[in-house]
Amino acid sequence: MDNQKPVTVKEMLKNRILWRIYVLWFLRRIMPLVIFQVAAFILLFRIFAKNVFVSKVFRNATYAADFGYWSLLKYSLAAFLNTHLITQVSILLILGVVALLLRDLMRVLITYKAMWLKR
Amino acid sequence: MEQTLKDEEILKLSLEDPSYFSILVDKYQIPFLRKTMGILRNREEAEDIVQETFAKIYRYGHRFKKEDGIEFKSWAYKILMNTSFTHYQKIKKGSANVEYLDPLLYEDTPEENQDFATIQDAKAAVAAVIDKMPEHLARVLKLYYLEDKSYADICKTEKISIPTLKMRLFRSKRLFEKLSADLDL
Repeated sequence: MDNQKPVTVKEMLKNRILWRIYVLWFLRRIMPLVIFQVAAFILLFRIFAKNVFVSKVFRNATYAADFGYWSLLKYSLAAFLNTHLITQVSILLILGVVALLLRDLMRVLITYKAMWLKR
Repeated sequence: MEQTLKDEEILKLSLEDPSYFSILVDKYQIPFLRKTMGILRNREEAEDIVQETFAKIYRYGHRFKKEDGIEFKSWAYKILMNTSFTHYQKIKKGSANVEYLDPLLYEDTPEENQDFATIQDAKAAVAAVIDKMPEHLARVLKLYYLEDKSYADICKTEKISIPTLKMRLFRSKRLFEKLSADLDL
């Protein structure tokens, strides 16, 4: 049995309007933020990569991981604390930017879902 | 909660969370469609105009300020009417540069209307129609559509009440439409 209701002309027009509003909102509210965050991420990651030999850090991390999660965590903390201040700051900022990017991505998905829910 | 909110509050909320805008769409899409059908007499075009109107309402929503005598409803209808008439004129004239009746577009995208001569022609044509109108009707039409004055400002200048102004605007729009048709603009 097909339980789906047929889409009325009124709903079709509403969907078209809401889709356009969603695109407008995305371009105006989300796009500039995401562009700024991605630019910040690239800049910070370049600073980080200039100061850290990333592949060596990962290799050491895999050795530490062989002894369990606790030693991996201890190794990560020790590596972080023993690095230069600029690297520490860039790591913290990268984490912050990634958190903001994830927040905006969630916002985009949640808003998309909410747009077509009946209020 | 949303049912107790006023339209302008919903518009403000929708700028942050666009899902609120569906309340306004539910409330106004049918009346807008009916109104536009009355002007264009074509379902598909009317739907496009309604869609365009809602997009403009959202795009310029941050500019809307509630003042005495200016409700969200009248502001939204003003956009709808301007968009419809602009489209109507475009169909009639078959020209793209007739957006002189739309203050929002006229204000925000001057670079789109680069054909100065055409704009001057359009302005001259509008002036010719307005000249043929009774002075009191022409004055309110100019103040509201061309100078984009608020209801409150016009009422103060003309020393009339808001209902009188609305009636004059209604009559002047009808007359403008009729005279434009007579002059084949």
